[in-house]
Amino acid sequence: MSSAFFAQADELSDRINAGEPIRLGFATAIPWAYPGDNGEPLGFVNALTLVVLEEMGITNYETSVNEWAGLIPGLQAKRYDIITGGMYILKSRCENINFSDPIGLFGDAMLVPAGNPKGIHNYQDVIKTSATLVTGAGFNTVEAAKKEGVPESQMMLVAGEVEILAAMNAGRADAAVQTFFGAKEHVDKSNGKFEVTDPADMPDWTKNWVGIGMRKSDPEFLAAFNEAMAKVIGGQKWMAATAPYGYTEFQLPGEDASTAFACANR
Amino acid sequence: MALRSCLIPFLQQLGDDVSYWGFFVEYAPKMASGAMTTAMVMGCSALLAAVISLIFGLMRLSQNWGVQAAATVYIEFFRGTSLLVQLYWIYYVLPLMGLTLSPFMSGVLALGLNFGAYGAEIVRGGVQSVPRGQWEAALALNMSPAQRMRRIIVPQTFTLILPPMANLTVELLKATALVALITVVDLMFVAKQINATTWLSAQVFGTALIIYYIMARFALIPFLRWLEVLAARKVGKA
Repeated sequence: MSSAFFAQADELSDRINAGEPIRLGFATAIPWAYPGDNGEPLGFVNALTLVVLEEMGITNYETSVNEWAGLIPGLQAKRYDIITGGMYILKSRCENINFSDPIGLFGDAMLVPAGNPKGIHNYQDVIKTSATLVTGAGFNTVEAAKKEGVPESQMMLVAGEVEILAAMNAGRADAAVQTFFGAKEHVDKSNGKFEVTDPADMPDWTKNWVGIGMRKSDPEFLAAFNEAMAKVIGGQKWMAATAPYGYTEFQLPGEDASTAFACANR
Repeated sequence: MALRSCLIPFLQQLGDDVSYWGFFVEYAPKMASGAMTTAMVMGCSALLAAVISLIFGLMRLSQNWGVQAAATVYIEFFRGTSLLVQLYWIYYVLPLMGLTLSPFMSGVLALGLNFGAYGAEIVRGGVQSVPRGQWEAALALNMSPAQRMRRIIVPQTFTLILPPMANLTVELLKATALVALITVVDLMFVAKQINATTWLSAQVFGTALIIYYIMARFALIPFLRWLEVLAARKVGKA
């Protein structure tokens, strides 16, 4: 059924044609991608990936839950076939893996204690107030903070989203920088202890597109995936699958979005 | 007094948001299945480590220069580098060289190889601690070197090495928590996942601590004691 998509088959396409399940790799980052009680793929990136795969005729899948910083090494070690963690398309990542066409445009924000006592809205405020800034190892925000000039002594790197909130709860950091979605999720969980800053206060260049990560050795699968995605993106199925996680039409990547542009400029 | 002041905030937090029993009833089955995986990782890697310890411990004592050097290199390498790095290496790097082991196998292999290196040194020490007179007596009885090892030295070695080996095995049980980092769904992995969705850190990690303790104190240690008694009885020391 799916074989129609693959004129010339790479390893992943071969596997799928042979009836083997496609393996989705992601970390625990609510609401982007996270496992359910039995490892089932939840979060909007997983949800929309499943819509695209269904369009390709692929309904057989498995999941692998990893540390965020282990996602790209795990893909290269063929522990799974695609990364559905919700990865920004960054130059440094494009050097190692391929990305699908963008699945949306997203921004980061600061998570701060309620009332924002230090008045932190972006990286420059962090530098001015000598605050400690926590984020996840391997997150896009690590590179962004560096480019904006935040000294390493003010940075605190933890394993992922879960540890970010734990560090904030324990008072080990003054502010956290993460995706706006991730920060909002943390605010909801903290019973008013924290608030999220306006994403518009962050430097404009840090806004970025997110794609599905794939091995460079699977170009035919990538092409087939993009072709199928073009048919369903922003459609009723796509929006219905992602709505429960807070994804709206405002997150759609836009007509002029391109992975090549993000790879070259982000 | 100090202990009480440490424990009180912890216990208070346990009682806070959700009743602990409510939490326990909801998540105990998941944690139990994680604990089963932990027990399997532990069992398999302990077996592998035991075999490696014995082989490489005896190789270290070989008269043959090459055999001895091979054992020394192995022990130095696995004892001298970090277990976590070895784990990542087997999980992330070996596949690039064409060898892909399942997460479970990767974990068992790393733990077995690492703890086997420590165990080999215990075996070597144990063999060397068998009193000189026993070696000489075996020689006087005209036993061949192989006979001497098999019938006289190794049985006595067991009583000497079991206590330190038991120590290492308890250490191994706790080290299995590292396999959670290479996606093996063990007790630690389950605890992290529950923590990620419920944020009941005190309850989740508190329960995990208790489960590890129960596994060590009420299953592993009695078993190892039993082995010690058994070994002592074999050489008439019970």
